[in-house]
Amino acid sequence: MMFDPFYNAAGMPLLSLLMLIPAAGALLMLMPMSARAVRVLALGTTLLTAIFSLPLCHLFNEAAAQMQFVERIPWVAAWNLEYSVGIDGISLPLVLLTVLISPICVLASWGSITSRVRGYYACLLLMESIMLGIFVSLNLILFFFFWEAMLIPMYLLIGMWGSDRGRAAAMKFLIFTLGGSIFMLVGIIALYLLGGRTFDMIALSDAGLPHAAQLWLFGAFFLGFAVKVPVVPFHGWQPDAYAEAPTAATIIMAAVLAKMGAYGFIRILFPFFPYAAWTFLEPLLILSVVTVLYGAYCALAQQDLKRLIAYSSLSHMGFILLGMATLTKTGIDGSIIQMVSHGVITGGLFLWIAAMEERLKTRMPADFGGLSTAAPVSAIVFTVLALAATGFPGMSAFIGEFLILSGLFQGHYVIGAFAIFGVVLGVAYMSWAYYRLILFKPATPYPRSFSDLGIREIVCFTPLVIVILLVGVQPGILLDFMRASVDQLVNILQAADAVRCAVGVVR
Amino acid sequence: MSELRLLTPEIVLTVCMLAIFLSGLAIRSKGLLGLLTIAAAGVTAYLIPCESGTAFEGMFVADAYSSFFKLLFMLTLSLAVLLAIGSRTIREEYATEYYCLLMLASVGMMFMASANDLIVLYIGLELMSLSVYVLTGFQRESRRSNEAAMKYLLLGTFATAILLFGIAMVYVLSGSTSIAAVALYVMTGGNADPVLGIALLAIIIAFGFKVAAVPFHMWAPDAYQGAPTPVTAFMSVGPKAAAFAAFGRVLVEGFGAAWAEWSPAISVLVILTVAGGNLLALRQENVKRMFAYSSIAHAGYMLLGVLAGTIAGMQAVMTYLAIYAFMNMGVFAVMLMLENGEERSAYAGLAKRQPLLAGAMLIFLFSLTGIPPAAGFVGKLQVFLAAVDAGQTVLVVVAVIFSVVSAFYYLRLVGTMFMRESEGSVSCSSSKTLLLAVILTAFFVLLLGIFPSLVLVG
Repeated sequence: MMFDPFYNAAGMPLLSLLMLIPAAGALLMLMPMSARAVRVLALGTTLLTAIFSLPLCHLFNEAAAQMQFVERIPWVAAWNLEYSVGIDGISLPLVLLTVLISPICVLASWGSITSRVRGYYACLLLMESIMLGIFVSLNLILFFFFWEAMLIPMYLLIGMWGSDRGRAAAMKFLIFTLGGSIFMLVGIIALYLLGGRTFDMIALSDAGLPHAAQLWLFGAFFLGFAVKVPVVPFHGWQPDAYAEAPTAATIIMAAVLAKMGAYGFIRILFPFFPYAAWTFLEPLLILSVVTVLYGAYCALAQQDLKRLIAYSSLSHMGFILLGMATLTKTGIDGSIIQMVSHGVITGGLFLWIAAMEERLKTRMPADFGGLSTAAPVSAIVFTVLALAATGFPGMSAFIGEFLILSGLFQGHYVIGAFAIFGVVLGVAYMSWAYYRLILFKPATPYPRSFSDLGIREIVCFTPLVIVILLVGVQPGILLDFMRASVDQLVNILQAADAVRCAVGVVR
Repeated sequence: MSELRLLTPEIVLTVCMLAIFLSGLAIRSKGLLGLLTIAAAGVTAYLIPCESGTAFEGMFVADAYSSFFKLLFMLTLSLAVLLAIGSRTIREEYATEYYCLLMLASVGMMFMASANDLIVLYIGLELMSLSVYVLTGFQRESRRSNEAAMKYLLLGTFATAILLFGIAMVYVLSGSTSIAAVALYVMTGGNADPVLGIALLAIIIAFGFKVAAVPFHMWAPDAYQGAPTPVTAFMSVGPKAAAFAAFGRVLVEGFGAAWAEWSPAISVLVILTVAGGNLLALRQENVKRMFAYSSIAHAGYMLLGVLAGTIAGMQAVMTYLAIYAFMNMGVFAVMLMLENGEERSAYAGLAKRQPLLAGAMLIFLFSLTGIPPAAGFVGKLQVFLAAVDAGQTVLVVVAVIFSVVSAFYYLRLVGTMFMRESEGSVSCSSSKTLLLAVILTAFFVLLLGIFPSLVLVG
């Protein structure tokens, strides 16, 4: 029973249900109803999804490395294609992150979205469905299906409810992403033909592809994922899209969409093309560390808070990639923890900026100051988030960055040194922002209407802060889920390395 | 006599055409005549034989390939009639002629799909082309429409003359116009003959004209823009599908053994068509003209399937055409519903004024871009799959790069609909038949995108 690949501990199609609930909610939005009813419905739907995700944690078998809660239904016979979903220790944390972030996104746009409310929440709910779909797909076509379908609601969210320059940002986002993923499509087709005419990820992950093919397939998939992360130099869309999008869309992009790219590295790129992963080890590390430094350096120069966090997010995504690219267990563990942690922290930071922007109609640090006395609760929340972002011990990012750096120092000392410099830059821009926002004297006194965080906002921040502290103090709760799956991935990678070294010796 | 059974759909449609022509004397209602035409198309589709076989000494063939195309033609015909019923460009008093010409063109298209002989093919092609020339110039009062028809006629005749030239050379070489005999000739070493190369080139150029492949596309934007919109919808799908049917029959079945000879020419056509269609579409301000270029670009993707030269490649083309029929017809249906639907300004703020229409257009546009869950993705995936399988990876990469370019102009229209405020008031047709066409096509685009098995030929 344990090693049955069709084993589904839930005894029901739990993962499909998880995807269907938000989609059904989005469909209900087609009916005419009041704006308030729409908001309540959206919140209810996302909360229901979150509740349905609880059995996943409860029934998840931590000792098993293979996929769990698997469902398989024939889909397209002509292509030997199945609808197949399942999760393992790598995807579970990301599924949980998605269901946690979604209700917060609904709450974050409670007061700020007043036009075309139905369409807005329909897009938001569709996004949740699609994001879950990406993390649970066990089939390349299904994966790509969700990967591309995501563009439609996201494009509308940025363009319709974003700022005045949202249209251009939305187009940029879409063209960049499509440009990357279309190469992935060619890669998927080639993989299908080379790997014995199947799109099944489990079958393909031990297809043992020829080395030459691995190299260029790696390139094709890399383009798709690198744009989404994004990795410098594929990041052109990111600052604009983050800055111009409505808050909830920014949170989704920073907290979850970026993780989809990183997830692609762990789920597809490394296990499918282990030989290529070792071959491209150095370039990948260098690209990641450049992303870390470039993002942090640009963040130093930003005047707009949203852009500052956008660039800091770029820098942190570089860290995540850095950990994975070490191809060590420590590094990959660190990356996955950092994925969850960064999702929560960046989500929180964008949420905080939005809350302040709603009050002051500005995001320029110069217009803020002295929040410690003017809005103490808000100042405390920002303190926690800023400390977490800089990797303060006791917070989740510390665990992630520490593991990533330990993985890095298992051989890559120079790159490790540069990465540490990236952490230092992170402290620099964060403390600058902290000083300007919280401690500095405001240039103009705040208007009378200015108020501290309300109940709705505190409800949003609470789960985020809890996750930050919980993972920071007790990382085991995440690591236990991941252990078996990461071990399996590392085994695949090490086996490939052994073959590679043996071939090198013979030559 | 039993051979005639294979021709049942063609015969039935012709008889129906004559019947409708006569009843046009008594019935003056455009809607009723249209319904009769759709009924005729339905009966014809129902009568498409399941068996396969050849008739008239092998000149005519009925097989799964031709049946699929005939079904597709009947679908296109019905949708084109639906569009015409709701459109004001087709005047009440000319309705009979309009429907009859559509049916006549469809008969020609059916013969093209079933032709197993180059002469039959030619006759079918001419029957189709002549009807469509007239349809293009159907708005007699409009200079644009007249100019378009004249241009189409001149260039089209030129193309068919080149086709005849090619057929003559094939006849000289192989001593027959039968596609089976040609295949035998090519297989037994005929492909070494340099004259065959010229014959092939002539045939490819002629069909290149008919599918509007760059550089033989000059007629298409003007003809598409000048023709009444229901006709544009029809000719951007039906005749194109028929030309692909014949293209596949001649190149893949007839000259399959000479793949190495004709594939370079098709490769060039693919690159030029995909690049030209998409790049030129970028610059169009007139929406109808933009879709003319877009339909050129889509012919480029389909040519990739022909280029593969395999059965899988042709199956991919067939799937693509079926999906393309729904999405392109849908686009034109939306265009017809809007007053001034050819102008970009008509779309500004459409999402607020007509959410249903804007939603349907959104589906069509994402489908044309090739983004799931819309069906266009399935078509592209299958064509690319067949082409990569046939070793054309480089061309597939070129095609996908230009499909990113296409995202730009399709989504600019989405942006206009969803992210712009409307300028003044644009009235919207209240025609129920047009709305039905929009809803039907949008429904099928989504359905086929999520359940591709319904349309995958294989």
